[in-house]
Amino acid sequence: MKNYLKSKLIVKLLAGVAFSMPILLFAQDGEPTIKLSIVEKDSVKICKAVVTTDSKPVKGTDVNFFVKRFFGLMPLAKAETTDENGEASVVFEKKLPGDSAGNITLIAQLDDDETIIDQVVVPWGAKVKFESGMNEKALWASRANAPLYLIIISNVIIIGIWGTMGYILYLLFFKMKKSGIGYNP
Amino acid sequence: MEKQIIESEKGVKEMLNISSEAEEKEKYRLMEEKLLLYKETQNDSAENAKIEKYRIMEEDLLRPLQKIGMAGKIWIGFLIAVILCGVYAYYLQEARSKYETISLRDYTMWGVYISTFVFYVALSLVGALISAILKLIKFEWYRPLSRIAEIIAVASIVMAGVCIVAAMGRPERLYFLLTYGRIQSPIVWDVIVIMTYITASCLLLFMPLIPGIVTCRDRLTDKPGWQKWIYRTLSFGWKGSPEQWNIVRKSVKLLAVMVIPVGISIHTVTAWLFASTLRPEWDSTNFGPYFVSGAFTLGAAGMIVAVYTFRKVYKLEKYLEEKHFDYLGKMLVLLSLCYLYFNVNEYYVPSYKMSTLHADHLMDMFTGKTAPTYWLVILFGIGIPAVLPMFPAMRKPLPLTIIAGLAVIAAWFKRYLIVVPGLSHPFLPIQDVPKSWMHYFPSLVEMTVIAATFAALLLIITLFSRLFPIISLWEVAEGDGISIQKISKPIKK
Repeated sequence: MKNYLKSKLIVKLLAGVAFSMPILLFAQDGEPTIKLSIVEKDSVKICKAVVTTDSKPVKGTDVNFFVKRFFGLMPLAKAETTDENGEASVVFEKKLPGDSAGNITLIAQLDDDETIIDQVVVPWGAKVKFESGMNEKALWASRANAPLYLIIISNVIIIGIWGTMGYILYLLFFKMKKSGIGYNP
Repeated sequence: MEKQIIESEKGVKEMLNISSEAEEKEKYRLMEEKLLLYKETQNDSAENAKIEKYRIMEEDLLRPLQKIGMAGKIWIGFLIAVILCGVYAYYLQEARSKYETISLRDYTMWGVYISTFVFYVALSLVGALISAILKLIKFEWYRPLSRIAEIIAVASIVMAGVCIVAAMGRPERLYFLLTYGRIQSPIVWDVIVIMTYITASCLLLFMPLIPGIVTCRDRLTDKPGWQKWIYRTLSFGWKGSPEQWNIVRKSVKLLAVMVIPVGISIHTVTAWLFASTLRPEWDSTNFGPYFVSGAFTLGAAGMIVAVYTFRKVYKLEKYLEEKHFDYLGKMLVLLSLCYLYFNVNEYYVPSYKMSTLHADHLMDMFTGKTAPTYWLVILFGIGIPAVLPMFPAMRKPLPLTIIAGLAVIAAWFKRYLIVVPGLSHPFLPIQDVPKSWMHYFPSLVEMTVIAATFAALLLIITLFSRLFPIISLWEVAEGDGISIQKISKPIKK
């Protein structure tokens, strides 16, 4: 009985240690957050990210800066390390196409944890005028946008040939019988 | 006195001379008149003989129209039975899943339907070849053959349309091709050109037929009411006035000129359907003339078979003569050599380079699984028709018909070899697909539908030849310098 109680106590102790170990090992002050902002100084465009944990700046952590593109994220520069203020910044030098208003999406992401991100939309891109090929006259376009030369050529041929056949049908249906009236072989 | 006598003698002599000169002149005049009369009589009798010949010909041409014998009825019954089987097979194709009833899959999406469509389009070019080209370059021997060529053209182009409908499925949506079709698409060009060729061929068949219909109307008075109604309606009040003849001749000339570019267009556009589709085998600028030359070869071969059949079945040996086979044989040689030239261009050049794109397909043709069919097609479809009819003995009706018959069969397989292996060798290798997608062999439903189209083609030709004379009498008589009006007038005695 004594042994049984002893072993049960040991099992409970071991279980308690097992559960408490990860908590002890990974316990931190709080989840880090990232805040992206932009600064424009004398036409120099700067992306600035501030990393904090419980409102305290985090020093020495790497931050990646990206621009959101159609099929993924395009890095703006190599990862920047935060200073004692928890700040990391890169200069935006690229000339990139944006949307029709010139907007692009900047993203700051913690290198250690890719889920911790922040993004801002800025009008730093070139304005792109989207032209749909569907409205052009082309061989591959829709029925209504067939090339003019094709419409003209095909219609000339069709009208020429069907016009000739129409003339023959006119002769057959309207002239043939009349031409025989009064004729006595 | 003496002087007087001498003078009077002189006067008498002079008088006698004058009278003899007048007599001479009179004699010559009478002789000339007699000669003229003799010549006229001779001409009349020659013309009478010709007119008599054409009257006999008219009788011979109307004979097959008088009565259909037992063999003819069995033949028509057989054709109708095959057509009904085809209609039922097509019903199964449309009513059940096409995945079960036909073998067409993603890669081989055109099978025997499109092969046969190309075959019919090619065969239909015989109308342009015989009725238009030979006519315009004044090869007079075309005259008894023109109507046979035209009915083959009409029947085969109609069946080409049927094959397209069978291949597409959902026939009730056919009009979408016109309402939603894009003029940029070769499929729409094909639809337009097929409809144009059908109309042009029907007119080219019908316009010179009107005098023949009138002969039927006037001569076949014991026919049933519906048949007499057809003759009456289709004769368009024909009385044979000069204006009416003018209309017929003008229309035939216009149509003959027009049907050549339309005929060549129809087969060129059919070739473009392939050439504009992404398959290595079809990626060829040679495809248009290659198809047109093949069509002319098939047209000539089909014509020989048809002429032989009509000659034997309707006993028209007097009009579809050995000389026609001789000319058709020579024409077959010329056209086969042209076709050979385009085949060399089509196969030799890519096989010389043997690029990876073409190698797979070409080696399959030359030495692979398709090789026996390929080489038999080359032999019977091009080699033999190009060589054997060079010898006069091979241009006799029977040997030439056997050569042409084999060429016709080879021509169908040639189209099959263009369509099916071409589709089975796409640019990217076929991987990770069901087994049935990799190989194509026509299903029973497909084969029955195709058999029905052949039966329908033959039925159209048979029924036409039982309703109307298969040789255009007036065109033949005109070539002989005889006006058709004279054939129906009493002969001068």
